[in-house]
Amino acid sequence: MTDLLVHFILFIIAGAVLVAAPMLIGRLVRPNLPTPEKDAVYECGEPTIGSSYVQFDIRFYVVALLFIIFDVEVVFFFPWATVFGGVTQLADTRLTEAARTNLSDKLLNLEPGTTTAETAIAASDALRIAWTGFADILVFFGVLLVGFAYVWRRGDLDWVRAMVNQAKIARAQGRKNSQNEPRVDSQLAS
Amino acid sequence: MSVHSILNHVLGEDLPRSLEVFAPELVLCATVVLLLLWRMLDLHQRIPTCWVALFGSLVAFFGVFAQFMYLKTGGAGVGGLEFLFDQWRLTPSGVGEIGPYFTGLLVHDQFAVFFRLVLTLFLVLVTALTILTGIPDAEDGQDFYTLLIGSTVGMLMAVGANHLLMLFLSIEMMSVPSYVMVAFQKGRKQAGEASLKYVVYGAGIAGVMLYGISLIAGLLGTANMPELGERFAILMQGEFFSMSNTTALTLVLGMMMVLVGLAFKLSLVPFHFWCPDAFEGASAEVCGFLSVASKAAALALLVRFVLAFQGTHESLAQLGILFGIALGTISIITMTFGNLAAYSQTNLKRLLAYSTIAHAGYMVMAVSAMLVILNSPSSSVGVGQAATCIEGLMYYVAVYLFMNLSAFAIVALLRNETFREDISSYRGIISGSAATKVLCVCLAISFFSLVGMPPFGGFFAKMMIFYSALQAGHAHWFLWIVLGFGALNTVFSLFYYLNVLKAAFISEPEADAAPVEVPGMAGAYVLLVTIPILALGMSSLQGDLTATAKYVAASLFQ
Amino acid sequence: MENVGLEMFLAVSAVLFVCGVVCMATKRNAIGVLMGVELVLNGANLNLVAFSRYGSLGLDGQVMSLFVIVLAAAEAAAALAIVLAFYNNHMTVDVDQATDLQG
Repeated sequence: MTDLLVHFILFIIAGAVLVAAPMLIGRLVRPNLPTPEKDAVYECGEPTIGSSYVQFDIRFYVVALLFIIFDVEVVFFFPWATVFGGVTQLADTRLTEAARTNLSDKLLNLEPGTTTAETAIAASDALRIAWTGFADILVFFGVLLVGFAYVWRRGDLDWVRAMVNQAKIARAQGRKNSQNEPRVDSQLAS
Repeated sequence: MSVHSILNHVLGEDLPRSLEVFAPELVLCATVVLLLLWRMLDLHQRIPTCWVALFGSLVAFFGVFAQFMYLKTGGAGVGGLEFLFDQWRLTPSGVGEIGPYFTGLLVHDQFAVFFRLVLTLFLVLVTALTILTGIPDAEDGQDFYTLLIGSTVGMLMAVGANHLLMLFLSIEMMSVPSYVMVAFQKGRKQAGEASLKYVVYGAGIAGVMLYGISLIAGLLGTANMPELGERFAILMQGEFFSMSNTTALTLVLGMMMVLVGLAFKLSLVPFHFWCPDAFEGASAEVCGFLSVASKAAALALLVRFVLAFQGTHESLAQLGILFGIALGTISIITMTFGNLAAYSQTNLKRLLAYSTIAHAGYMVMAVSAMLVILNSPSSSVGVGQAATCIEGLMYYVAVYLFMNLSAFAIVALLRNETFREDISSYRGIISGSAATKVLCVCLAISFFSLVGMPPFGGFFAKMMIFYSALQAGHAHWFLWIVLGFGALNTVFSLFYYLNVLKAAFISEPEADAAPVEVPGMAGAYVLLVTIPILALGMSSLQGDLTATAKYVAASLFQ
Repeated sequence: MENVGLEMFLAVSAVLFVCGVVCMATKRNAIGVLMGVELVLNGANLNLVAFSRYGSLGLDGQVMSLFVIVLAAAEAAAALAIVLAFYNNHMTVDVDQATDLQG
């Protein structure tokens, strides 16, 4: 415990010193001649155009939100895949006794050599677990796909078509009252 | 136990039983998927999605009803019941058997089935109301009903929670869709704000609650709720519960965090901020849903959670009394605050929100009384009296469903005509059409019942809860103080309800206002949900419900 | 590093929890509040996993944290969508500006 603490403290001190020392030395040594070019934000050597706090198009957010949901669902596949992979191997009737006990230990998260020939997972049981797991994931994934298809069908993933629709609406409204034309984001259309 | 026997148990016995008990929820899940497919395949132009949602919730309701009757009659159904039992394939070893299912994640007992019955009935009624008021239009109906049904599935799981994971999962499942439902009225500025406040508070409190759950589960080494009390007693082995014991202190902290989460869902003071704002911004139909369904589910969860820490050990009894008195104090503050704040309201939905807060206070009083009775060292009170508390609670929830739904339905239906929700817009509406007159009378009935006037259901509900507090007073004098405050509050609350009724019945209509003409269907619907208030107060139905509640309550303490 | 024990994990998770709560309480930006919520949830997750590794919670803890990850994402998505709707109406995400509803 104390050993670890000493390491931590050493790291923290070393880190702080390594950052602070060059800054301090630089401050003491360098001449102080500020010019507007020096104070400007560095952007690849080009003069900056406007503030970096610009708004992104709302469709970025929609796609990002949908991505979060469908991305995180994958978390449920990991434990499933571990078990499914193990049992499909075990479902093979040609496995040797040693391989079977070895795989069973791995699957049940036991110390190697704990299971014996009697307590190892039999091929028929493994097959049963595999089929159940397969049915589970089919239902889970099926429901997920319905949601995905729904989002797709509603056009929430459709970048280009959303633009076309927006332009259409804009044109239709523009015909109705030309003085009140909604703004179409020309930057993104180009 | 070998893998073979575990597998045989899980797939051969547990799974069929679980699916049998869980069938109504599965029907609701299938309805959600069907709603999305329905819209995708453009079938909504032939049959609107709202009818699909109504059909799905009706099927689920009959599923739970069959389970309820099966448990009550012991499987000996006659006539129509027999048919229902056959349709749902109910078996003695499945629905007929009380106990945990899904390998202990959920529990099937009379208490859970009673609350599931209340919730599915409520889902059917709310769906019918939204069809009547047309809150979701044809284009986004499936979105609204998906959220509504999804939230209800969360609540159905909440009332049967038997594992700390399910506690958190169900709270989140019922909250997340309701955040979105509050914001559902597109383009209304207030809806966005109401929802933002609700989601910011709700998400924060959910995080705190999860941290509490992680502490409890970790320190006690199990997340299975029935084992918590036992583990707690083992951990406290021999030594009395004291503040110098850090493990005990951490555990109590964790429990308090979980109770904070539940108090937020019940909108108990000081975790009520969201409630008036969310109610004012949301549509009245959603308010009705939030005020009844999410409260009923959170209440059932609260009962389950505090009962998880019951046992014969000394430290558990001390803990129980401590929490009982804490809940009693919160109950006093909540009902007093709710009733006082309701006075100055000009918006009817906001007024009803504060009334909801006050009613949550009354309901928590029953839980507090139950805890004190169960853990009292004196022998004058016991499990029988504790069952009376739960009985009162369930009766209250059943009556509260109809009272609040009726009130919010009237607000929603009148909004469709007058486009206003402030109390001054109710002036003289009695002079409207026949259906409007029906609405006014129903409003009076539901308000008098909310106050607790004698012939209505609300009166008996309040009496039962007050009686249980009176009984608990024998165990600890503090409950008599709670009871005193409850009685005082009942008198207070009369005036602000009367204020609205005075506007509707006695005041002259505003000079430029046209008489309100509510469609006949609206009158019929409101009458349908108001009659049970009368029936639960005056007819033999009251006796039936009391007997049912008694039977359910007794089963909880077996 | 066999001397890293349960206490250290709990300490880190407590720090995360406190940071999250402070963030929720002090931030005026709605997105900032949601970040605080994520910190709290992850603190709890760390607790659960640590207890399942060193305590007697077993696999339950890990399964719970998996569910929490997914729920946190769902909640964040719903909350962000609501914040976006609020922004479209009010042109700000400052929660202190949400003052239309008060009484």
